[in-house]
Amino acid sequence: MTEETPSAKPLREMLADAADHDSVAAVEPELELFCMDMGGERFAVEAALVHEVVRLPTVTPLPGSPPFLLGVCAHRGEVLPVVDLPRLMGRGEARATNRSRMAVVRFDGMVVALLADQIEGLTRVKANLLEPAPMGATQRGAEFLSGVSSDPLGTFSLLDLKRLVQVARNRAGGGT
Amino acid sequence: MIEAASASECSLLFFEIAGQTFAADPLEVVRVDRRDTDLPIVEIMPATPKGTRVLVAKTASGEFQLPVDRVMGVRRFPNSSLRRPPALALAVSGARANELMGVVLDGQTPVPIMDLKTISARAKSRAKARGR
Repeated sequence: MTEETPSAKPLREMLADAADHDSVAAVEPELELFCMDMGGERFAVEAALVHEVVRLPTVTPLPGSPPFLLGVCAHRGEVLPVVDLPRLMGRGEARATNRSRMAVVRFDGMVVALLADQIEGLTRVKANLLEPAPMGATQRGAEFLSGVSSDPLGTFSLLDLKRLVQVARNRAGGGT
Repeated sequence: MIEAASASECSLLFFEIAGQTFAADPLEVVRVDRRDTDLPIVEIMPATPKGTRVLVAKTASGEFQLPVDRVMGVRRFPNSSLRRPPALALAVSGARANELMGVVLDGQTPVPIMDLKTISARAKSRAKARGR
């Protein structure tokens, strides 16, 4: 284009004033999340909590444990509890198939393996696009969610793992 | 007769109920016997074993029997293969959490180590409640 607007600043000056990645991130913070399919739904946890994703090893059931605790498995010399989160939330159950994986998450000094039907991987969403989880009689397990959001693959629910453990503990009568 | 294990290893009695393997401290088991109608029965799982064998254990309150499908014998493991129960498992198992002493890693397979004394205490308190 040859036409120029007399008042327009040169491109170089405009770029000098433009926001960079850091300043945009400061204004619109992003959440890095780890997405997986569990019980036919998409769930996410904070990516920083996920240490590993591995194939499902032999799971040994523990007598007297609640149904959502599928048992324990050996992983790198540790014994990990394997949890079916949809079952804990009353939203169906995860299925152990060839595509199943377990996500090893660490939080609150605990290491837990979450059984996932399928792993999707990392996704980023703007924090301000995270909406409160819909509450109501039809929304089972909404109290375990930090919120809901969506990415190009669709809607997902962000899990509040601390809350999940707290509720599971209370249900078992172990207090808070 | 169970040979004492060295300080760096432990002996565990392995048994099977409904296809699942468990372990227990062999020192808590007095004998392996056939089912006795007089001794109080305790169970680990809801599934009733098809076998007629029982582990007879003795506690301060007397002997009790744990029906099992199969007794696999006593095996030795290095202490390094013992693990405490995962914190989450204890946190969500309520009153029965104490029945799990720990886990032994048999290769890559975790085997629950059951506390027969605690299990017998549950059975005793249940029997007491029924008697009321």
